Amino acid sequence: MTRFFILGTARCGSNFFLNLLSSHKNIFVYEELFNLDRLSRDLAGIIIENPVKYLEDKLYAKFHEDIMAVCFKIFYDHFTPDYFIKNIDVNSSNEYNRNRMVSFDDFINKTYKKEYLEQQFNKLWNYLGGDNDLKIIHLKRRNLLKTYLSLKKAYTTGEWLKIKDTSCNSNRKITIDYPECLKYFERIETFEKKYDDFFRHKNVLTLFYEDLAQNQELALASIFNFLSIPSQRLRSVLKKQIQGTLQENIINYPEAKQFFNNSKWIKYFEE
Amino acid sequence: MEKILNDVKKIIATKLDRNLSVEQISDNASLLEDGLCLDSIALVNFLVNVENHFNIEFNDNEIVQDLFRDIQKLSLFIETKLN
Repeated sequence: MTRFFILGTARCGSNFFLNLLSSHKNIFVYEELFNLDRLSRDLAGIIIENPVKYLEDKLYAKFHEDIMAVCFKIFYDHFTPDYFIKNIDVNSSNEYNRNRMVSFDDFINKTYKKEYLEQQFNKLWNYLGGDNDLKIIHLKRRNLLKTYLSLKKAYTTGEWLKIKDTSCNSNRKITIDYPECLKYFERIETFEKKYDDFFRHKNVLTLFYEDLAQNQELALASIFNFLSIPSQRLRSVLKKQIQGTLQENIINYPEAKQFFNNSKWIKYFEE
Repeated sequence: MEKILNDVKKIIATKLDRNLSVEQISDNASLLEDGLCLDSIALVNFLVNVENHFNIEFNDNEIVQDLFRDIQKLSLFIETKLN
């Protein structure tokens, strides 16, 4: 049995990738195991008390005989103190998201001491980086402006998935908040470097979303090989949520491009 | 129809994190909050497995919540797609 996890950040294409993997007859895909504010308070409490046992119970559960690989996804900030520092201003998100985040933060602050939480968080990450047979697919997106745009839209519309071609609010244009965007680029690049370093002794395959989207067959061939599972034709019911160019999706695109001119991030504005 | 329903149950039992055997899943189980409580990610993973297994494709307008409230109804729907 191959056990692996997908490491990345929100809106890097992980749902699309997981949906593809899920269609493989021999892969079992878990939902988000450590996105605490999406879970019931009871379950979040159980996970915080013993994160490694929770994970091992999942990874070493009894699966159907067809299953040859089992995976879950975890984001850079999951089960870390960074989870409580949002990439996007909470006030710009829709009411449902805002209430969920605020109420979860309240619950955590009232229930746990900061030191205890950090100690429990470290237990999980030390396990993930430790001496075990867990493989890692580090999913990155070359253009972080597109990730930011997608995240900003998801926060404001509350729509995180697009199934087939069903209508959604994704055509809504957004205005870039320059300092927030700059902070986002810096934060994600720091995370990428930090985890590349943290997992440098592990068996890691780096996958770029753009490569998966452009040549799915080629990208999947290297993944099947990495996971030692048979090659299969995979499909996803998820569609790209943002259509069109950056310019068509960002209200203040020329000004934003000007703001980042002469910085290393100007590359993200070139399509 | 019986075979389709059984295959749908098998997908739930083997590919979803609900710790259920085929025998434990009732014929009219709901996948939504009034039943197995699949979140949106689990639901799309279930959907892609159904499409794959039966070699069918749901049209955009066919993906409605009601389809997932009763797996017997879902099985009937799959049957009509297959015919």
